[in-house]
Amino acid sequence: MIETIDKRTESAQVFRVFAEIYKTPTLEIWKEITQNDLLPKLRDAVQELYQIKTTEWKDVQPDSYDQLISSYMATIGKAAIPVESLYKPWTQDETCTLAFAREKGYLQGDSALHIRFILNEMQISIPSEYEGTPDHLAILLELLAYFIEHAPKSFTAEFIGDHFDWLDNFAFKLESNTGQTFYLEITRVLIATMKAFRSTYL
Amino acid sequence: MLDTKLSRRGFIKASAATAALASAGTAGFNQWSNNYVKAGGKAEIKEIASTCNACSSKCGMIGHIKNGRLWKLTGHPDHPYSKGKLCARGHGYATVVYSEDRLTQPLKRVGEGKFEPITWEKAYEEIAAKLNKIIKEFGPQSVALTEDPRATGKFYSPRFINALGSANYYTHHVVCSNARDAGFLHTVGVTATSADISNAKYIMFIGRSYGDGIRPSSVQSLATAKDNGAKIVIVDPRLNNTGNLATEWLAIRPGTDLALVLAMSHVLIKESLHDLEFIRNYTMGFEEYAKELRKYTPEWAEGITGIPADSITRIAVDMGKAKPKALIEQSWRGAFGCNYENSTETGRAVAMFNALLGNYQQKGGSIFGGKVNLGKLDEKKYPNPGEPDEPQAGSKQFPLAYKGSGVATIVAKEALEGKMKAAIYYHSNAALGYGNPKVMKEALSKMDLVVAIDVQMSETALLAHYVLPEVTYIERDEVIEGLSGKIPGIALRQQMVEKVHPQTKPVHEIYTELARACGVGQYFNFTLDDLNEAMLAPTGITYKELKEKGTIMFPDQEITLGEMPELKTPSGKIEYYSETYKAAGFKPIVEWIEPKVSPANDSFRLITGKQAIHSHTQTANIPILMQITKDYDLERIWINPARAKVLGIKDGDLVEVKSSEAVSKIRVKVTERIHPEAIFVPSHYGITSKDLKTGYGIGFGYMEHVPFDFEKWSGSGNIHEVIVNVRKVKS
Repeated sequence: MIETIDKRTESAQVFRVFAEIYKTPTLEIWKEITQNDLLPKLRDAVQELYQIKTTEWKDVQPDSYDQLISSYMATIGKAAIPVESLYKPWTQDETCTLAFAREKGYLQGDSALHIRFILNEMQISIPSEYEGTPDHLAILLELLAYFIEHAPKSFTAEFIGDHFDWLDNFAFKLESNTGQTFYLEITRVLIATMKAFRSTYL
Repeated sequence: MLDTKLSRRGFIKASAATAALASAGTAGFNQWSNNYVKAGGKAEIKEIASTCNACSSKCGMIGHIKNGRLWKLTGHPDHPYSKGKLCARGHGYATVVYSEDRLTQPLKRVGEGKFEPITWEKAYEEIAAKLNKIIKEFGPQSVALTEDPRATGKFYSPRFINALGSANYYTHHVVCSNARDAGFLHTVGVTATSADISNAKYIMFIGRSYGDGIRPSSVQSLATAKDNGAKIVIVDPRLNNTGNLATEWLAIRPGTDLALVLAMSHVLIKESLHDLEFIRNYTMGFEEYAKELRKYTPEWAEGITGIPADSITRIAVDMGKAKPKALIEQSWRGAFGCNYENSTETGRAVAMFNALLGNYQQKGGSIFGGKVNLGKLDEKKYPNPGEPDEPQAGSKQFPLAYKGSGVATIVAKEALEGKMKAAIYYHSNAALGYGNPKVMKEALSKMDLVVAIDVQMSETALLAHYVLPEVTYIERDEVIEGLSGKIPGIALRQQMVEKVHPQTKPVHEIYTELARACGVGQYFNFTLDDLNEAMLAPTGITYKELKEKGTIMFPDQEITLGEMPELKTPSGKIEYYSETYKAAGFKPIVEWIEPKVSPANDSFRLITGKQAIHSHTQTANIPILMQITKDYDLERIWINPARAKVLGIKDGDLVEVKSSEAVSKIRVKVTERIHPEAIFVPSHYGITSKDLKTGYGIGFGYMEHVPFDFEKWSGSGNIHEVIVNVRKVKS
């Protein structure tokens, strides 16, 4: 039992670190990457927890902070934004008559409203830069980490089922639109980790 | 355990969340979601009256907002342009608010096509330092500001550049209506009239298409006119989408509209069908004009236009008989807004033709619209920067151009000459749409500072040193807009939803904050509300009332038909003879001017125009509008079957279009709806900014083929003075 709790805590920590990677890069995270071996540690953690073997990230890891910023700007900051709404039909509201109501590719879809609803219910405030995109992957992963530690398993399972079913499409977009591999490799491992976590612990 | 200090950065703070989670119990997300859906289904729907921004019409619209998001859009029933309807562009362009391709934060260019985020404060600081340095070193005339004007920009943009001591304010009209504006301005005293279409008995459109450049009320008016039995003649090398309502299409040789209008004017006078009383009362210089017109016979015009002399005579006579309920519609760009070396003269000839019909301020004729008297800021409290000492760049070279628009491409010309050092572009993709993109790119790259304020990474933004992200029109309040017309009115654009991207700002805030950084904040010591309150003061309408209604018309101020207003020409009359022209070195009486270039037997004139689903290149990145383009292959060029046959080209073939400036590959539409000497290409395509993922790579950019040029009279872009060769190539 204690071991399970520890592993849930460790899993939560893994998802928190993933969340950090999808946020706008800061010097703080760059220092963690370069001075505290964040990526090898993350790699070891997913291998230990879920037996996921990853390729060496050294080859894809940016060489400098500027390169990390560039990579972010060219990929998840622009060409393949990790926001759930973009990958799902905008609304299920049948009374909505907007021309794009059933189309994919638009921000503030139903999933954004749902996350905003959850955040409001739980009285969680998020940084202003994410207020318009509350279903950004960084927010979703932090919420997931929190639920893993504090919510019933069924709760967490539903959350994963509802809000992480778009990651394959996101990875495809990263691969086809950006030509840069750092965030793509991270995302592939995230997808594998998510699947393994679900089947192992939920 | 994954050991990292990063977890401190996390957003989720446990205490409150844990309590809330506990209170949610084991119901789980399904129940939460169900509650959410139920709550959402019953959510209050707010209606916010505002205006569209999909084109320059800015039709009134109502946003129906549910759960803080757009839920429905409808046309504002009181607005004179929408009359309860919105066009496809209006519905489609609104999606921009939720677009994934929007600019979300201020950016600084750090390499070719490479940008890094920068804070607003730092961006203001750096831009202000550069602007002030340039002004100190080269003078205020070395900085310029260009926009495609909307209500807020019309007030704030010139005020901002004037505050810096520069008169260099420009608008997109250099590739829109500069020529028409100049022709009308020096003939009837305004840059444009409107038209009482629904009551007209005979309407001629020259290049203008209500079915393509849609304003819902205009289409309704034209349909009413047709129902009432009006004759509707389209003069256009292309059978445009107003064709459904037309009674006749004159497939004129492109660039020769002036000859047609001169010859029809000739016929009116020769047949004594001109309105002598109107001419006597309200015009000057008629005798000289009539004398000049003697040589412009229908037979002469037939040789130039390709339209049979009999048709020219018949139409002119019929229009003369239908006067004053007959008119040539004033157009915007149409065929004479900026297309040919003779466009200003065509605009002038059209204004004069309408005067021959005596149709000004007549039912079914041309209308000088009334305007609501709006107030101004109290200058004692809110100082106005005033007129700069140095004249607007380009005003000496093009003294006939309307000063309110200027000649925007002079900025590029003077940049290439090393005189213009800084340029701000607001809501303007000048680099792609105003002049030849290669020239524009070179010009912008020569400047020490280029700033773009936009909602998306346009080609101009890509060339800018700083890109400042604006909120979309769905997310902002604006300055009150006066609506000119038979019944004048006012309209207000209002914020419908919260900002999607928190770091974006409305342009009035950007100008105010940048002005402070530049040390001229004293000219922006008021809020948008202060300004709007001041504007409303004389009207008797409260700001609250306007916010509720969005559009308010003033029927008690309806113009009186039959009463000519005092004209703003130097003589106060319609000028068939212009001393202004003479002083500027031009012939004071309208005359035939040859187009600058003409196609040979094996070449074509490249012409462009609108499609009903797009506005300029502004809508090219809107997925649901571009999908229509893709579904119907709308990016294709049009070629006449007779010419296609000679070239061995079949419908759908891939061809190469080659001009003096560029080579493009595109598929063809073979159609009788285009004059044999012309190739038509819609003007909405050829996006080269990879950040605009939907628009990128579709079709080719018309302007790539247009030599960088200025029409001699108005400085407009001569955008149809382009010769191309076409040949079939392998797919």
